[in-house]
Amino acid sequence: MADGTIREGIRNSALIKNPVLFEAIGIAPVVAMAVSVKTAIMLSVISTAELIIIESFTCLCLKKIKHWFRVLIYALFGVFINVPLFMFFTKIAPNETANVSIFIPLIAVNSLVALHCERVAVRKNLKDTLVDAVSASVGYVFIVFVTAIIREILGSGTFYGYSLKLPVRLSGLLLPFGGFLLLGFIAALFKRIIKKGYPDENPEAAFNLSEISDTHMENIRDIISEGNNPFDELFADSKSDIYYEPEDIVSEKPAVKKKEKTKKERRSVKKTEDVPEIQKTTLVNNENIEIYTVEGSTAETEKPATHARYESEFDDILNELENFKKGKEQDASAEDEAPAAENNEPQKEGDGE
Amino acid sequence: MRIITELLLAAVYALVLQNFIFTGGYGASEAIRMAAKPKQLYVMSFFITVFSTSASVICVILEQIRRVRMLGIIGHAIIFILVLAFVYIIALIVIVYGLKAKQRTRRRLGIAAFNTLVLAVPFLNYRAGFSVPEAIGSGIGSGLAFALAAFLINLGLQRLQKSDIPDAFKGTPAIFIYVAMLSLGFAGILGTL
Repeated sequence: MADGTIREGIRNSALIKNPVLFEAIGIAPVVAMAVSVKTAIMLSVISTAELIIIESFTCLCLKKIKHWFRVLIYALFGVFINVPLFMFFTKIAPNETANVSIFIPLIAVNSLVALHCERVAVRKNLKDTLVDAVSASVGYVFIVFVTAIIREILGSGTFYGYSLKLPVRLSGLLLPFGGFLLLGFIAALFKRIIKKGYPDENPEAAFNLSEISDTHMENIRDIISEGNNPFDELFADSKSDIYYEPEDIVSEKPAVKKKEKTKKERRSVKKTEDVPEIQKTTLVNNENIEIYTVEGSTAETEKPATHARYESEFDDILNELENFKKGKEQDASAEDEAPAAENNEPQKEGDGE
Repeated sequence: MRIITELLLAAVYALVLQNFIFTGGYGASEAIRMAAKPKQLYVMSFFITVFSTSASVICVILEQIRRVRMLGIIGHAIIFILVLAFVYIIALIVIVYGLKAKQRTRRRLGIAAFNTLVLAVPFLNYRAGFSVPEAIGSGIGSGLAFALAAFLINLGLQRLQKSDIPDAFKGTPAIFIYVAMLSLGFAGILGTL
């Protein structure tokens, strides 16, 4: 690997896609544990050791193992890496280790490790994996230290245990809320620096917020609505998850046919007379785009990920249905010359809409 | 009656007073990322509740063994992670071979089982010296606390997306500050301020 690529990899993982600031990964240890320089050192050493060792091990040995067993191995491996490090820190800094004692084992299940193993270690070679592990560690450790230094100085009035004799202490910063607040401001500062230094880069892209408008209330209605299978959501094929975006997924079979109707579609079918039911829904590619084939018509629509686009597509299908109805009405009026029949047709249309 | 009271009190305590996500930061990454994908909220919360409850109950039962009780933090950590691994394997067998669940469900199962929130619950039970009914309440309360946290964060995210905020604060910076405000509120309820 060229030096430029290594530098680019480190820049991407440590700065532009900083795991804590822009991916919201590994937050728990930072907000709970990074309250002084000493605890930051512990957190950094353990996290770096875990990330490098587990990622390398995954790259070398776990590539052919199923995802759901790999996750188990990461956690078990993480705890067993923690044991000697915990004992080491207990010897050299017993008081500080006792203060954060339950947080150290929790680092074993840090989402940072699982994410990077699944994203990089199982699909790339050892060299790339090591570069990713080191660069992610650098990014993580940097944020841990910045947060810890600010919290120790402002919250405790000390630096590495030495009193700074500050007139004011903001002890609230030592609580998790202070950690979240600091992370927010540090993320904003980093974002500003990135936008100035690398105008083409978009750190926001690291955290996908496009599905926020898929509200839970909609889900509740879907679950309780008639004819809906509550296990559809549970057992449906999907390529998207809270950690692993579609591009992160590896060694999974491509998703195949899936039957799924949204509430709006069901409502439109119920209310519209003489319109054939939607017969099947097929997942046509990995981008979660579905084609709805309507029997007896050529109406097709796509279901994109974003709600706005979905609505526009939904409008299209409504227009198609309306055109279909109008065609049928024209046929009926041409065939049937009885005035009563002609008066009933517009009434039907009004009801359907 | 006493058992039910203990269970309910522990559940309410874990859910409202000591919401582990906001007052401890446990499972914060999962809650924030879940808030961005609310469709998965119920299933994920259900899994987390199952894991936190079953792991905390088994761990409290194991605490009755004198040798286990005498272990230090790291000994307990090993026991807790092994219990969690055992529960995970059982759940995996049920989900994969019993219900023949698809890839997404299996994937969620791993995320739900191995996170800081689920592993923290047995630790907090151990420190508080909870009984079995209290451990059940604590586990259920933690799962519900996760659902509540993700729900609240999601509501905030929806408003933040529509709000006119400076470019530098759009995205995760605004999310963190919003979570900080929620965390401050829960810390106020708990009386840690």
